[in-house]
Amino acid sequence: MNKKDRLNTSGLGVGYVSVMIIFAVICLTIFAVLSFSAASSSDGFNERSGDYLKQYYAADSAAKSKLAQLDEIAMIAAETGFFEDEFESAVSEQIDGVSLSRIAGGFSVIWTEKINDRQELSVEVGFTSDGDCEIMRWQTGTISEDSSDSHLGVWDGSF
Amino acid sequence: MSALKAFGGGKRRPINLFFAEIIIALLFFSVSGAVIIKVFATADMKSQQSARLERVIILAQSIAEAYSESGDFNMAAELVFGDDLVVEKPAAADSNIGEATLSIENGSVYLRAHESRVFTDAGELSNLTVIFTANEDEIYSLECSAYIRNRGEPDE
Amino acid sequence: MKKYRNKTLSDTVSTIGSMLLFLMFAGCLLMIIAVAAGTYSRISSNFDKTFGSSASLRYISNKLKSCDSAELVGQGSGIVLRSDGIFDVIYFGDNGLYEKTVMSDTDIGFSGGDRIFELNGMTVSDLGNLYKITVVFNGGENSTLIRKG
Repeated sequence: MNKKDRLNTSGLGVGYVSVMIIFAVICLTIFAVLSFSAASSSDGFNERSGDYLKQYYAADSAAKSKLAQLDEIAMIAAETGFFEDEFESAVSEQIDGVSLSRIAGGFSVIWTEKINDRQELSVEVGFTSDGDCEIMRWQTGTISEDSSDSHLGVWDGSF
Repeated sequence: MSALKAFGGGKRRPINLFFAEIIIALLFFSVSGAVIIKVFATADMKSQQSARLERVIILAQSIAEAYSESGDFNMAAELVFGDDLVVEKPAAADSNIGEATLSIENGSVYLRAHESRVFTDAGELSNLTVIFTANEDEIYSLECSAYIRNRGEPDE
Repeated sequence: MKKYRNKTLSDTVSTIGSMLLFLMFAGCLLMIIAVAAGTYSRISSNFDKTFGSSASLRYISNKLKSCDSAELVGQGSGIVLRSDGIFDVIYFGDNGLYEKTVMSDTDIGFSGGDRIFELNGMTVSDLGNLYKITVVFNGGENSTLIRKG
């Protein structure tokens, strides 16, 4: 028996098993990494949308709280008989961040609540002299960027 | 070398490299396999949690939207869950602070709802916090509110 | 030939045993790889399902929250969202969710839109003050409620 025969008498060459194992480990590693990546992406997507939902309803709640305050002011103002003067002065004294504009038979109150850095909830509610209110707008929108910051960074010809 | 000889059976039998290789390969595979299985298990668990979170977020949004319109958690839950609704502890209708526990997703997820109401002369501002839990761990929570006027709903 | 004749019975048994062990080993490895591929496939299909159903639901919800007014068309298989005089039509057709933007209400129709999601069904129903959006994807149904804004 020569040296080679002495080392291996099984009929199978040396190295096949190693090659198979390396192949299997590479396959399994690829599948494991892909699985983990898919699960992480899905998890990240859900977490982001869950966070957005929390931010949206926080802004929605803040807007509703303001609506409740405005409605109470409108009701008290309507009871005094001098709705326009009373409502205007009470709103400017008690509530920050709203803009009032006169409409037929009352006021339109506009305000925004920030949802996140890019979006805001824009609300417009109309109050009439009988203390009634109508929600004219309750919608999300993109925060308008300052025009000085939003220009394209192109060369204007000056040095 | 003495270890290799042992595989061959000592003096009489030659050294069998095949067995030596298979044992070394198995050792390597068992170590790397343990790591890979751990990664798979984490990915699978993450995937299941993610699928559950996705369903829960959609439910939370539906409850928040229905609650915003009615200001009544029981009504909102009935609208969202319909016949699948299993109320473990109903919210007290006459109380300013209510708490309800619902069992959803075949009992694997519980929904706890805390409701608080603030009454003004003009209407009722109510806040609802819904907390979804599984195995006592919080999965997701959402706070929302509703404003119901005493003189009827605001016109939209 | 001489070499073959010199082989003992134990050598033959050892060779057959090694062969069997090798085959068993190869079979086990293939089985493990198949199980791993199956797990990956399941996780991947979960991910697709998340994207297919919940992303489309969120997309329509967010569109509804940001529009001026909305109107159901085609018995709930489509919705027309109006914002600043622009009409955004989201509709279901040909196993997908389509969207198109038109400037005039005469162009509203279920053709010529861009495919945005792969879906098996989508309906929007009117529940008074709320809309119920239902999407069907891979046999599973998912729905959400949205206020009329």
